[in-house]
Amino acid sequence: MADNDKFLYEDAIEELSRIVDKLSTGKCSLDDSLDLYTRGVKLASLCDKKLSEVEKKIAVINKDSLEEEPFAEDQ
Amino acid sequence: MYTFESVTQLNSYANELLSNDPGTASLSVTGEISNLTIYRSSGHAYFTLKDAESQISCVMFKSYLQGLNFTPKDGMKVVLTGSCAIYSASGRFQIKAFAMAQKGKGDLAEQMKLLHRKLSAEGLFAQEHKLHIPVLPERIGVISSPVGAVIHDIINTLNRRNPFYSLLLYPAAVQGEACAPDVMAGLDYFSSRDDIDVIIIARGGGSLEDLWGFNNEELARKIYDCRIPVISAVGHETDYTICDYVADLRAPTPTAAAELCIGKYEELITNLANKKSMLNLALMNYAELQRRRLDALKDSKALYSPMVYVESLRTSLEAVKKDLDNSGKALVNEHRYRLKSIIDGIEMLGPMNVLKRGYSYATKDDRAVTEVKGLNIGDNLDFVFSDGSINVEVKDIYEGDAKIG
Repeated sequence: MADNDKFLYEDAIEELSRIVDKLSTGKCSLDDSLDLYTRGVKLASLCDKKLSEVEKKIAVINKDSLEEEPFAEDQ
Repeated sequence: MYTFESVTQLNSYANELLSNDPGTASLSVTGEISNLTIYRSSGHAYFTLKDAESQISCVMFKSYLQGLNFTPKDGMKVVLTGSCAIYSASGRFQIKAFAMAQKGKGDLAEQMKLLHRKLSAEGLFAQEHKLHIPVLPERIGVISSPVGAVIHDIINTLNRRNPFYSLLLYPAAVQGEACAPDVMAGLDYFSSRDDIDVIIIARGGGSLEDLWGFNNEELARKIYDCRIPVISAVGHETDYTICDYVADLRAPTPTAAAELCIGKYEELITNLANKKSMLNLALMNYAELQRRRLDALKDSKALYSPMVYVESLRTSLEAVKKDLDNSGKALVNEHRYRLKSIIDGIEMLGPMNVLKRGYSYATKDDRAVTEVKGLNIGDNLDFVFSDGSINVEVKDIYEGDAKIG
């Protein structure tokens, strides 16, 4: 996942799982293990942020103007 | 002979007969449309159905007309389904039509089967072309009717499932002739934006005729070409359309589509928390493993290298002894004393040597036990001897000579 690519939650979770698996084998060098851990912490905090960053919004397109207009959710 | 008091009575009598006869009460008839007028105020269609020799007046009310997947036109060959009656006010014998199909087009189910076969052969439904539906879409595009239950079912489900969502509705006709062009325009519109991560095409259940707009070949190809993943929720449970087959994911209902397009918030939070603690645990286990390896290395050095060192010192001692035997006893004694103290000191480093002399040491939970303080009856201790270890249970505890437990 390059930083300029669109962040995909499921990709980050999958990478995090792979990191946990790799770290759990205990076969990596100390440096590699610390790098893996640091990467894992970064992914987890990105996921945290992603989970609640979208602000709830419901809109409808006006087909004439192609402008977004608010849409009443209780009708 | 019947005697009718009025024309109205006569017409009612005739209508009674017509409605009781199975041939006129429910019929289908083929003919060509002419003199078609659709009244702007009522929306009803009036026309004549004719063949080379005969003609009959027909009416089709607005509600039925709206359900058609084509617009009737003069000259069109059609099969009408309806009933025959006399319109009392004008005395005109006419058909009240409630369905109309274009002649020569085959029936809808057959048409759908043919289209399915064609697109399937081209690989439009192949699993490997299906796009992945993201777990957390930045924005959900919905193509559906802005009125009715469907959009609100979707919104209510999203509200329940995950409060962090953004939805953009593209209002579209979901029935009749405008349906396929509207849905295609919606797909084009969402594709032109860069914030839509998933598209839901939704409408409620209906007859094959109601859903006919979603069995459109051009629409199917547009869904196939769409770079944004499309969830199709057209119809209810058992209703299938071509749109369902070609979409990246088919949802049985609009509610299910809302469930499929975003992860459940609580589940995502719990899953992420689990991953975080697994990550921390993995690092802690790694550190513990390395510490144990280091301990093992330290132990083996303490046992191994001093002995080698001692041996080499012994050898040199012998050499020195030989030298010194020639040089003088006093010096020999002095050297012997100094070397011996070095050797003793080094031998002290190796715990195994102490154990060989009959000592043992106790550990509890891998920590050396150096005092009775903190021990309890029933504690399990490991006693390490020079050639192995035993596990014992504490039965009595004495501090000095006094029994304290």
